[in-house]
Amino acid sequence: MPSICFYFQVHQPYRMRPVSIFDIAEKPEYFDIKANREVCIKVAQKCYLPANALMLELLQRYPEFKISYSVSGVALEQFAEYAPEVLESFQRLAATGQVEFLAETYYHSLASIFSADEFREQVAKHTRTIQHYFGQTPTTFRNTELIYSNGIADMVEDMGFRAMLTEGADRILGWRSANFVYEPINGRGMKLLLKNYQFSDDIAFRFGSRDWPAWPLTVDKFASWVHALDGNADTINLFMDYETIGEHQWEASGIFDFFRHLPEAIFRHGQFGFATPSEVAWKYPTVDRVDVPSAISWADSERDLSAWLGNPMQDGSIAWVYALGDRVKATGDEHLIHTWRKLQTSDHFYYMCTKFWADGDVHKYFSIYDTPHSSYVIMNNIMTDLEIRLKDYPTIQHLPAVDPIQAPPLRHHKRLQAAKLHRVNKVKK
Amino acid sequence: MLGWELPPFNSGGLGTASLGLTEGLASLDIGIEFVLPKSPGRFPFQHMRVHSAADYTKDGEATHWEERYFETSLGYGNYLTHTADGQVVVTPGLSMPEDTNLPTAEAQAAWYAKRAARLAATQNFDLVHSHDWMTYEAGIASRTVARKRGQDVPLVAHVHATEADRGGTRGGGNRIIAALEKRGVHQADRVVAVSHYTKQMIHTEYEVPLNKISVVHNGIDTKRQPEQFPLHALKAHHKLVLFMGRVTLSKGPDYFLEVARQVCAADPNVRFLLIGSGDMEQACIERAAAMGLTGKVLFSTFLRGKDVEKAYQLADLFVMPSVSEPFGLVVLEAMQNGTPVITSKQSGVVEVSDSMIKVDFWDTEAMSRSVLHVLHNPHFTQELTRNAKHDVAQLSWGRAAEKLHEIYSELVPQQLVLLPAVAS
Repeated sequence: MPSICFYFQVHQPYRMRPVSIFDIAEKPEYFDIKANREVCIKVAQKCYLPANALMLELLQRYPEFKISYSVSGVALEQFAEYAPEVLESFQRLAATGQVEFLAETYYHSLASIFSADEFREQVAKHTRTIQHYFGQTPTTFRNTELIYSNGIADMVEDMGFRAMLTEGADRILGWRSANFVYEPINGRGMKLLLKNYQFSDDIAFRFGSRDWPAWPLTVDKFASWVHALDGNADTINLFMDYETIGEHQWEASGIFDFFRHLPEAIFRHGQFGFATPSEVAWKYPTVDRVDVPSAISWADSERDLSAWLGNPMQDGSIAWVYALGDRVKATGDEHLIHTWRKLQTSDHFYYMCTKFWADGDVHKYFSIYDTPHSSYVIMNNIMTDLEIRLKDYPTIQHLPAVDPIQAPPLRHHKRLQAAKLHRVNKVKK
Repeated sequence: MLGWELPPFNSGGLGTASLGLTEGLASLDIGIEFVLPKSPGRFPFQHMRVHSAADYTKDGEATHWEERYFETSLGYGNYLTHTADGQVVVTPGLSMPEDTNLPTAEAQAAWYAKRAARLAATQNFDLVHSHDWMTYEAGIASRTVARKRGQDVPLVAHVHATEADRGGTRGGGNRIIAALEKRGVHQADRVVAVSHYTKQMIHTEYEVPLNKISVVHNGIDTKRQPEQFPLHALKAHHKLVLFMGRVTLSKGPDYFLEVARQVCAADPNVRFLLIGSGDMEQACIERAAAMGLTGKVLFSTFLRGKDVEKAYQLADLFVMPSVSEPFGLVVLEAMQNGTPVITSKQSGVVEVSDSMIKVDFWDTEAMSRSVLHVLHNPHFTQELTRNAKHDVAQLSWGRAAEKLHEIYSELVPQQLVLLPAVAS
């Protein structure tokens, strides 16, 4: 009984305002409120609202249809402010009981690479936000951009998660198939779900591409590929950006129709169904362990961290951001801490990427800045201002950081243990 | 007078110098018809008339690159356009619009020359004055027009920069441009250089006899007082060292970064501001990051109008580390704004004032020591800026124009009227 496991990523960063040298120390606003609102509303109209309406329709028509989302905290915040109807439509999806919401870092950050404490705090904050909006406590974790390593898996398992998602990179699998459940090399029971990048990217990247020999990708064609795996797969993990539907693949490409008819086509084969990540983790046995000593991700053709880190502009800026951590937290000023954390969002460093091959185009598409260099320059100005702002706080504030969003990992762990997995999708009213 | 740009539609010192000189000459009762390749808008000038050579394009002769070319090349990589009401719109683009059909330097010069000749045929003038290589062909063509009429009209080639300066090395730069430049200074009846430094350069590069080259130093509008901006809040937190100019090899931005590295190691509270656009902009940003100077060097694309003076006043020190600088008007501007200056010895401006610190551009250690000295010794710095303001007050465009007038009088001994009003 193989399952199709859909996970959609929903994320919008707080894009930076082009803060100039003259703005420094003059109390500038760091984030481009106008641009962020505009993008939010634009993507809501092209993707979130119509896609959520479609999903709701499908979930109601097919009680066995299941999907999952990971919505970053900064995206939820912006929906609440700029497009509350988007938030409501996600809540309606949650109320069907067929939708799982995953945990991630609230700020869609790279904290897992730079600071274990910061990472845990952001995950805890995100978990509380998901509880607040959707009445679920996530038991499955997905890290920013599916970044994964043995060490990160260890931290995530320590936090009490029962399953984690990552990329089904050839580098870690070798001859093995991504269509089964795995566990970390040093795991203690946490399951790993690996993205089937072939099928996922067929939909996310190649769907509308006329250069692709398989174009046009019809539902029947796709279903026949999936059905051909019968007997050779437990789970087919289709992980992609939600913005694929309507934003990356425009409506004219037929993407909405594709999803509209997909469940029906999949169900045509009696053995196939849908499952959420935690159901997959529950249903299928692990077949093997995977060893990932250095980090992988789902980005670009390298599937590594080179989209965010590696050039001196990226490395210099991110090191600076994290270096201020202790001083920022010592202020105890929630607003300031929140602001600093919004600067950790991975997109800022993605914009600074200078990889010059095909991937560069994707980076450019997502960036509101002319060049990688201008986003670096802007972040320099903002960080200089932030440093100056820190001077306004008493310097001898070496009290332990009273972080209002910190949740002790132990308690969190117990609470998760207490929760029955099959109840995950039940909505608490 | 044949020029390339005029304020406010200018991107560099050439436009500023052209305007300053014409104002000075006009006050000496010399009539000026000023020609631009293509006038980007209306100019508010009373002292001369501005002509647009592009108006003398014949029907069906317009070339597809024309509009785009003048928008881009005038801005040295910045995209200059203008609105219907004549306001300049600057898009500080790192990326020039990609046009594979951009004309060669020769084609540009020829384009200008053809139209300038048609314009000259409608004018009566005693002397032709050409500013920099792009206008030399046009100058020669205009003189030919007058000669055909039987008038012996001399041509003055005013060298604001040589291709060797722009290329950053002796014999460097664009060879086509160098060839045009050489033809211009050889064809001219007199060559005017903006400094002795440039005079020497013209002599060695183009084998022009020294007695054919006169030096007229640039000046500054001495009557104008820069607007005083309130003390910027940033100054309370950091000492600020400014580079402002085109970010290109000849201006030495890479030496500025090396100085930043050395100074920041000695005084972590100093911040360096690298302001400007140009072909090395991205390279400099990446290099600063690679040198571990993230947060130590802040960047801005080039500034216009009031922001320029705001930047001078924001800075505690202005550094011009040019590899080769024919003059260096920015130094006088910085002085006028009360900002102390360190400049490379490879520049013309060192000839007109001693109220600045002069260092070889390649000697970054000496430059770094000087930066720290200026920042850490307020008394020394105060005296330096006080003297600098005194010096600047003497360096008017009027004085430069008087020298030019002498040169004109030598060339046109009779009663001189330069490019007087339109002939019938």
